[in-house]
Amino acid sequence: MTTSTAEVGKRPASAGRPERGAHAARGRKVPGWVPDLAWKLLRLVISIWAVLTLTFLMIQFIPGDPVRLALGPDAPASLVEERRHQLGLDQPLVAQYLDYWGRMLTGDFGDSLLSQQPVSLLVEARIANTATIVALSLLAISVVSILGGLLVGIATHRGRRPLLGTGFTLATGIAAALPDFLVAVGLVFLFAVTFTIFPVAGASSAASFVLPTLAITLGSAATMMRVVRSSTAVVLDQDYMLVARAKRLPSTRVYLRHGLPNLLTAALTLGGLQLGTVVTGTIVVENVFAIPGLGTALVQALTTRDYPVVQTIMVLLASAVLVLNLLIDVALGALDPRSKRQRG
Amino acid sequence: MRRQLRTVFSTVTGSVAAVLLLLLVLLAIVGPIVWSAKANAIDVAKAWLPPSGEHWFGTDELGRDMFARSLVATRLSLLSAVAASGIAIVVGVPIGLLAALFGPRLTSAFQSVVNVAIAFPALLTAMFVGTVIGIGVPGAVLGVGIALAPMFARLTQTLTASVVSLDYVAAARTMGVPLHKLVGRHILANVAEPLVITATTSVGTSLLGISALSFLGLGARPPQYDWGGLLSTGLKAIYTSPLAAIGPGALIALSGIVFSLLGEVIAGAFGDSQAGRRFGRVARAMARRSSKATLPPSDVLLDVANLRVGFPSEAGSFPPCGVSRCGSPPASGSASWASPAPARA
Repeated sequence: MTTSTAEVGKRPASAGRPERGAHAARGRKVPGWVPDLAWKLLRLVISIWAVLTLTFLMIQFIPGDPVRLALGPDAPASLVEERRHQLGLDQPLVAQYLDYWGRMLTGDFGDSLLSQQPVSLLVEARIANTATIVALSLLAISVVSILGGLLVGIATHRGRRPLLGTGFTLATGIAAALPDFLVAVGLVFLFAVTFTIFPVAGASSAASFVLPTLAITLGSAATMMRVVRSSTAVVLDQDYMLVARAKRLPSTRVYLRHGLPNLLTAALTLGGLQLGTVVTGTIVVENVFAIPGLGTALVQALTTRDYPVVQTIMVLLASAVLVLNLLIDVALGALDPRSKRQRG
Repeated sequence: MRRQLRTVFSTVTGSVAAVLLLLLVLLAIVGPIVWSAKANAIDVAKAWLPPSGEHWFGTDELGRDMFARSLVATRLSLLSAVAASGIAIVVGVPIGLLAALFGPRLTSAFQSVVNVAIAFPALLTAMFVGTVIGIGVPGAVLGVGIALAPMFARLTQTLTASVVSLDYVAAARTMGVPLHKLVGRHILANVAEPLVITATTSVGTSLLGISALSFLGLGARPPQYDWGGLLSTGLKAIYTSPLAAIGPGALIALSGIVFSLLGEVIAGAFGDSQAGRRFGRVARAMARRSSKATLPPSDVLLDVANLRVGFPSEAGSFPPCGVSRCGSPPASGSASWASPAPARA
């Protein structure tokens, strides 16, 4: 009973007295979540500013003449000079920086050094494939890990079905240890050579997204499933679960209404850390399955030193990770008021 | 150390991981010496051959033997992984130490930066560094090293913060131990175990990261080759000779698993419980301190019942203070056995 009384005791305290912006809350009766959200948004803005500044400085950091490096030693000096001008490298640093901001904020990402096409066209053509893979993977990871972890957690609670428990630990351990590019290659092997159900290259149909999603999902879902299973074991032992059972609630209600929200916090916290893996997973997986997305464009631009493309895609992917992280953070705060106090 | 080695070998997992590691290291040393000639023998007439008795993994686009190349690549793959972990430690640990040692304001600034850095995708960081210093093995190694550094920084900061408030550090400080000695002997020595465990697993992480970069063509470039590069070569021939991709892929997976197993086993050898795993010696030292009364007599180095320590002054000595309860610097300074680390020496 101790835990639940502690929770009851804690809750009003945290709701009435958020760590930051306490003055605002006292003065004008601003709801407790407002300063919290404002703080998180501020952090997001600062992070995105850092990403933009670093990608801007990337070209400046390159030793020697970056344009000469990109075009090769055989390029005529006039072309190098023209591209330098196009990149704005002949301007003073501050002017370049301000110009970079102005362009990034208006969605004008400059022109590709190679094709001379606007980078925004490239992004428009390719972002849908990448976004689809990321969204599908996130969905698959959440559904598989939460449902699978919960079911296995219930089934093996307190040492029941030891065979299932050991098998689960072994299987998820192996799946979590395999990096996405190996899983992807393995899937290509399986589905190109043995079973030919799904296409292994290109993005011509909806079926093309099955294997890439699977390759990203496997490792992250295995890691998350382990966490969900172990927090299920903890939650099932809580007194409120005993009370729910004692009230003879149907077991779906016991597990979904009383159990699930309490295990989501651990899963979501870890999920935030997995986001980066998922988003960069698309870079790798798109290249294995030859899907025309941002990841394939990024790798190609990196090998050809096409700086405007590299900068734009890096900013986009990094911002995606940061924004998704914020969403998880907000969801976590809404789900579990206690977490606000610890995280601040 | 010997006791811990014995513990490592006493478990099945430990022996398997240790033997596999030994094999990998042996392969890294011997591989390039023995198989280099075969790995670099170009025979275009034999390009893209499927696996056979002569070429176990088949051949690549220039007719070179993929099996020999996989064995030779062990050295570059392992060395670059170890180098990347080394960079991560050299960059991360001092930052974590600084953040923990110098004031709460630095700590909170550090935490907000590191929390973002850790959530930031490592592959993007590595690609960023690769762009700046150029695509190749050094770029990939430095990139992965810097991408992993925040993890070490945070671990070091957390561990150091838990040690820095202990009595023996305060004692060493008041005794005027110079900072470098304080850090080396009193702090690092006591947080070394979790760091060693993380360093071991991070070799595996680096290996996978560098392999991914090489696989994408952003790491080792011809004429250099590592397992990641071979994997992408093999992928081109997956329809005709799948072993050309599966071979290097299996080696990558195997080494990744060996290092993470090794980390787990070392963690098990250092401390059995979850708490012991985290804080190893510190936790044991604290437990020892709190249960001093139950220590067997042979373990006691110094037993003081009525120790009186004070500053000489006109009004007599300062109020005395028992060692057992009070961690006042002069008292614990004179009884420096409270420090678990130097007591061994």
